[in-house]
Amino acid sequence: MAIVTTENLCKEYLQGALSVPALRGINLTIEPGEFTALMGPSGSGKTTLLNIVGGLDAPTSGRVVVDGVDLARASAAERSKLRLNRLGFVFQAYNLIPVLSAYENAEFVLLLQGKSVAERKQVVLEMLEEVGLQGLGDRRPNELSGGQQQRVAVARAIASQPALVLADEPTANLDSKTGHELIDTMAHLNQEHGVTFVFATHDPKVLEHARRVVQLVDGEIAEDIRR
Amino acid sequence: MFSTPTMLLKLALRNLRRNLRRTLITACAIACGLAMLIVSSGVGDGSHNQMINSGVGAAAGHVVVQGQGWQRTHQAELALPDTPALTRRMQALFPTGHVVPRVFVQGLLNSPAGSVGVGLSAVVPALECQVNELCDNIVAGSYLDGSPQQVVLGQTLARTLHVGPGDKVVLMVQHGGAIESRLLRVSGLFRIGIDEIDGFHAQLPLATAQQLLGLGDNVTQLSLHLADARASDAATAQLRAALPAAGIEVLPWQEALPELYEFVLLDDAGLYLLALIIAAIVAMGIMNTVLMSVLERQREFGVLLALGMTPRRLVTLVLLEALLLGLLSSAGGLALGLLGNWPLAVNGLDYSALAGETMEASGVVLRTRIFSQLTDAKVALFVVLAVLMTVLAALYPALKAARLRPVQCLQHR
Repeated sequence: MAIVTTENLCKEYLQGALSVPALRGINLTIEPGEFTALMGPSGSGKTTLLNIVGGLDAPTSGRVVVDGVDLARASAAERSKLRLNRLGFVFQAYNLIPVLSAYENAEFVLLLQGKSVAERKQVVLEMLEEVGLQGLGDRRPNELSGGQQQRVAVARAIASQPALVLADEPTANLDSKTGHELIDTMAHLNQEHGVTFVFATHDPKVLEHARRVVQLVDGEIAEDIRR
Repeated sequence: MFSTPTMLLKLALRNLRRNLRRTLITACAIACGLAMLIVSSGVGDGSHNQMINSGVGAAAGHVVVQGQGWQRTHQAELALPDTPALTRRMQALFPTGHVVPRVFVQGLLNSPAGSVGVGLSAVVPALECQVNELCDNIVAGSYLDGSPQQVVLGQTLARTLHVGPGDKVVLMVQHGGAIESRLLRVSGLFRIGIDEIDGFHAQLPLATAQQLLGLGDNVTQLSLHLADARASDAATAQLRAALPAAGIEVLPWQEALPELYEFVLLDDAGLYLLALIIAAIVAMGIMNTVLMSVLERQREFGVLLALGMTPRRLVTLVLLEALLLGLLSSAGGLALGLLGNWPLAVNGLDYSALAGETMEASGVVLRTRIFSQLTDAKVALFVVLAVLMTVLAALYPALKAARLRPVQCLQHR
């Protein structure tokens, strides 16, 4: 069963009296295990699409079903529950909680889910090792480099074994070498652990690993290339 | 199951430390406001207790036992039945208190210079001096020594009658439809500083009044004087349960001296009003600080909501921060208030430069050195209110945080 299905998905924003269409009739399906890149110029609707799929924003019209949940009909509480239990997010600006350590940031979602101390410890240490941050769990975000912070964000995103990880320009604030290393890590997680990733990105390194590239232009799918 | 509350607590504590200067400034505002209230309350209660003790010492007691209906009619004939037995019973119930007998009567004092209508209290000098400051305010001659023909007059009254210590006056009272008179010698003059007392009050020996009014061993009033005025309610209940109900009324000072009680209540209301004003001002400051903190963290809150934290937990987080701030600030405010109160409790607050040696309020003489006295219940109430106010002030910002839309917050810089 597809993890994400959108049917004629539309989103319009109001700018004063003007209605600006951000998405125009998007029909998209994401299968488990995909490593998919959403590409396109600024304003093409990549982030808007990710936000709607992630339940952070509501569509103007159309249907979007994520892991069996019809987000257009779901309540705020249901969308929140979906995000907590079935989705992971990696943001461009890392968005770690500054007062929590790397370990505590990575375990945060597990805490919200009510997992036991032992279970959290096992998973978080494993995830930190997966992303190459073993031994750095005690450090606060301001004691980590940008690349390290983003790795913590990835660890946080996958710690709860989500059905889908949504990554919005995860390498945009990183230098090319660090960005490449991060994408390699995420690709490794995709290949070894079957984690499904959808990226909004301009990064060519993502393209190297992406087995599917969806090109967005002016809120429409211009191309959908599977490799 | 208990990990989320711990996590929220951890987050709340660390969030308070993020902008330590702002947290400390807000905490200082709360602490100083609370400390001011505690000190004001102590001085207020100290002055009230002084007023009450002064008032009850002169004209009543912390609890009074009187003839049924005397409080309403003030008829001298309404004496306490079986006064000696009542006295013994009261002394047995309150061995550390003072049980002081009095007869109150209205009469006419006559001298060669004229006549003045007066209010008289007939007392046992040795017992009266234990509770009444009048004994310490003799300005000429001496206080009563128990001789039956003595009288002490207010200084202004003596001036009106053109008499002094050693001079004779005639007291006339109405009793049973007849006029009774007695020749008395002025033993001394007192000065309280209240015109109504200095000009229209006199004291004479108890036995003289009992004989004059045909009371036998009975008196108008047995007044009970306690070490602490705050024990009067409990003592009243105890006496009402222990003494025979027929023919007597047992009243706490609040009912025996209603004008004084009203003054104290009004003054207390002023303190509570002050507390409310201080609380409102501090609360607005807290609300502004918490709101700033919430708006600064919009992006972070957007992330928390995006990760699946419910709006309710977000509200809990913000309120928890306020609660911790309130608890820490109140602890500091309590310590500061107790510290500030201590010298006022030990050395007192001296108003004499402003008001002279004594001042009058609601017909009662107050010394102008007031010793602070804290009431535990009031201090506890102020501490609880400080914490509650801090949390309530954070409610609007907390609810605002809960209504944040994650997608807008994530775009916030």
